Amino acid sequence: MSTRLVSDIGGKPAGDIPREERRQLFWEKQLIAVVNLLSSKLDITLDEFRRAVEEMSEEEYGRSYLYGRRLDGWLRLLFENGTIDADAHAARTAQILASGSRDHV
Amino acid sequence: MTADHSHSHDHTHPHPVNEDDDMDLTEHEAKFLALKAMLIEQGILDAAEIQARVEVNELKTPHQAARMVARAWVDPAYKARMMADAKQAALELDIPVTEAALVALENTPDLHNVIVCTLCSCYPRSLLGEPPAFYVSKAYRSRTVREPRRVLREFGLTLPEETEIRVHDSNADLRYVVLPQRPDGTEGLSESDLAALVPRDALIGCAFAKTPS
Repeated sequence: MSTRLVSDIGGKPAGDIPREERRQLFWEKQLIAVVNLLSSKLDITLDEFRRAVEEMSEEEYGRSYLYGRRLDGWLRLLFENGTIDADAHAARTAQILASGSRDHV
Repeated sequence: MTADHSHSHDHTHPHPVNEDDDMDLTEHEAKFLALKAMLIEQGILDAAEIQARVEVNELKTPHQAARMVARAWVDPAYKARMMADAKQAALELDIPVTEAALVALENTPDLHNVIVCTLCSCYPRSLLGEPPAFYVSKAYRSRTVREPRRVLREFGLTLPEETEIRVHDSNADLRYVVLPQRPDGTEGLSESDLAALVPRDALIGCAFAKTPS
């Protein structure tokens, strides 16, 4: 029997489909722009991104949402290929969260 | 949270207005801000090109595809070209589609097409912009391939039993757009008036085109 990937949810039982419109947040717009640019500059394909998302645990995937998955998948790729240092990124994130300010970049 | 510019580090890049300054900073946003800062500091991206790309992305709206639908409704030759090569047909209307391939699916009284991406959120973003929340929801992705008639009924589309429903699962290399049926009573309307009758969800197969009021 084959194992389903965490993202392979087609046909699974599920509840109500949310119908409320959700406004894209400012950082989410910027994230899309950043990944658009990085895809070309670093020659990273959608399939590579998907592979990174598919490596999430079922629990992580289950509680994730679209932009969170995009961010986490891309971070995984950038850590793997050495573009971004994971420890430095974690430290920077902690610093931003501690300050509570968006005015860092 | 502060939106002022009182921090001391030196830089010259522009700070775009953040329309979400009244919202709490989340861990995801902080992770993104850290990533963005590092990419800029490492010279991989600069703030101006990020903002420029945001602005390009904001030009991508469902109205682009609605214009294609309206043209197809009034021009059979254009419709034939759209069904043969939707990317090229988009370009005829100065709409650059950057996805690898785009296929147009025509809805008729006998056949209703609906689009999903079961594996992630593949969507013709360069044509329609960002997908709606329902499209990327796990419930839509899960259920549409198993019980499309019921899902469509929940969207207010009650289709005759004899109408075949085809569900198209998008992927990294192939995206879809639906050509909805032209509503009755629209003879003589201009293309721009016709385009206004095509809501976003009709381009996914989750709504009908509107009838003129």
